[in-house]
Amino acid sequence: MHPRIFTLILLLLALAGVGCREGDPSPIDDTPYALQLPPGFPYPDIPEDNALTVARVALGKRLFYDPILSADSTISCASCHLPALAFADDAPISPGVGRRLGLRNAPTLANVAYLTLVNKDGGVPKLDLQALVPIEDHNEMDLSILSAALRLNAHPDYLEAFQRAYGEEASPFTITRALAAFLRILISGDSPYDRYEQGKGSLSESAKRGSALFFSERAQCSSCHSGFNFTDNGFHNNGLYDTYADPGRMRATFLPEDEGKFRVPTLRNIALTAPYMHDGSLPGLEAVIAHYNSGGSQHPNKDERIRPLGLSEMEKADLLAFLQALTDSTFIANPEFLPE
Amino acid sequence: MKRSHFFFLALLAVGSALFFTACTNDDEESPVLGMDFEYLVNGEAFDTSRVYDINGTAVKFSIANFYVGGITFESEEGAETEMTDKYLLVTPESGMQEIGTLPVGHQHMLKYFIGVGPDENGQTESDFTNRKSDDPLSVQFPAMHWNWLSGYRFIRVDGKVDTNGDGVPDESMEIHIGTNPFLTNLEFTIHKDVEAGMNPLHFEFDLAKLFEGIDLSQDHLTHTGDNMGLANKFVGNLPNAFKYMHE
Repeated sequence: MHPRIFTLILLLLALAGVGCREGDPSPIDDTPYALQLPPGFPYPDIPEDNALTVARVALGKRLFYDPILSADSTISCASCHLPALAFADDAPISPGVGRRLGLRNAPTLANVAYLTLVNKDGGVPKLDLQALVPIEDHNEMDLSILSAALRLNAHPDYLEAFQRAYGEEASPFTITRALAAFLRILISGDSPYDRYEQGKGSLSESAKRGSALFFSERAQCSSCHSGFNFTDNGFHNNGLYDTYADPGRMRATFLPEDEGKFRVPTLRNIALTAPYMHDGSLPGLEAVIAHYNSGGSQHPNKDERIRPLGLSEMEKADLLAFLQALTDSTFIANPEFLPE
Repeated sequence: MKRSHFFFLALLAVGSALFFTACTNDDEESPVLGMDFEYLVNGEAFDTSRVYDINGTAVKFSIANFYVGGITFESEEGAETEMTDKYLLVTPESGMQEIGTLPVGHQHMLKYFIGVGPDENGQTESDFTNRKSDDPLSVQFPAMHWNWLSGYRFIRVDGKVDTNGDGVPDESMEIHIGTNPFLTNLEFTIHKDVEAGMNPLHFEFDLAKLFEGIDLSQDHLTHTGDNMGLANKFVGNLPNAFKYMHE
């Protein structure tokens, strides 16, 4: 065959071949991430499109500690979610870009894998979308997620990490999913109370009395702070105010009956996450116990279980000892969760 | 012609045909329909550099975007044809946008809603982050999604308004309407003869009519839930702001 014709045939075959090409072999590293769960913890629901892999978790962790996701590159997720504080903050309201104050007290990220609705008002329906809130909020990181993607894709090492994790570059999808992958591994369930329950450790007598009071019909703390994660994942008005500057769940539902209702937080590591309440208005656990002992405000949406408890000083101290026994020191020191 | 040249040309023709037909579809015979919206303010051309007088308040617009969905044609006999899953993101610059195809014939009514239907707005399964970038429901800039509420802004009108009467718009105006109860259905009698080729449907959209009964010098911020009064008035004005322009 004439060499020119042979060359042409090869060229045409190549052209036809690339016309509908499926793509290069997948660059994804899909090595599964083995989630370590304490006894009694169920495996969390994880969406199929964001299965936990080593590459995704590593990418999410890197993003979590990198201020690249804020407008002026000064604020990272970890600026307001400090590992030593169980991924919460000690400021009532954390400052964001330009020292602007956010809306609410930064919550712990421990066990967020189990949230059914996310944020204190439940306005976000899944963890995989939550990262959009702090990244884009004007008072937090103040960066459009599209701008964040452009920034990340300008870094060859990030580009490669996204390809390895998701087989595609940084995008609103891959950024939010990578962060959610990291958040899902922040599992905490190894407190002195847990070890005591498993017959592996001891509790002080005061903490034992506090535990009995916590789970009693009299105090009813455990009717909201229930289950392995000490939360029913519900939304309740705990009588903090007569008038709420922050409408709470009503912000998401527009329903007056939801005014002043906020998601019940986990009590795991609660001694590390002061100040308390949605606005960080109560400085310590003593103030929290005093609030519940008082019976709270007269707000019409106040949960009927919030009523004067008549706790003695010793009972208050016992409750405090119990709450302090929920601190998981291995969680805050876990190198898997800390920056490299 | 030499035999080798003929073979060369024949191969080129066959190869080109192979290449160009590999990924085509063949529905170009059906009439295509498109919609465009001409932006106006009090009947005058829309311009983001211009200051308008709306009910005695000086107003300057910067963003005026909205979603159109649920596009449905109705024949004289009442048969409905929906442009399933079709959404338009309408902006002052979006111009004519294709909405789908219909057979040749007469269409009596056109119905659509301003906003995003509950299934897509819920964000539980598919959400704005996992849509392709050419999908109007994907993440947009300026943003048409809410992050804290995880739904879409159905219509977003931003700009500045004059609040002290000096004629200078200097306070932010943000009208962000969303959530399922605010999905607004519109319908128009179009009497459209759909013919082969492109069939444009032209609408006027007068922003001044959105603010009838609203004192923008006093009331110019709503993200829906935080100012339901303004949101309700604004949405109540939506049907009057759109006008179908018959050919």
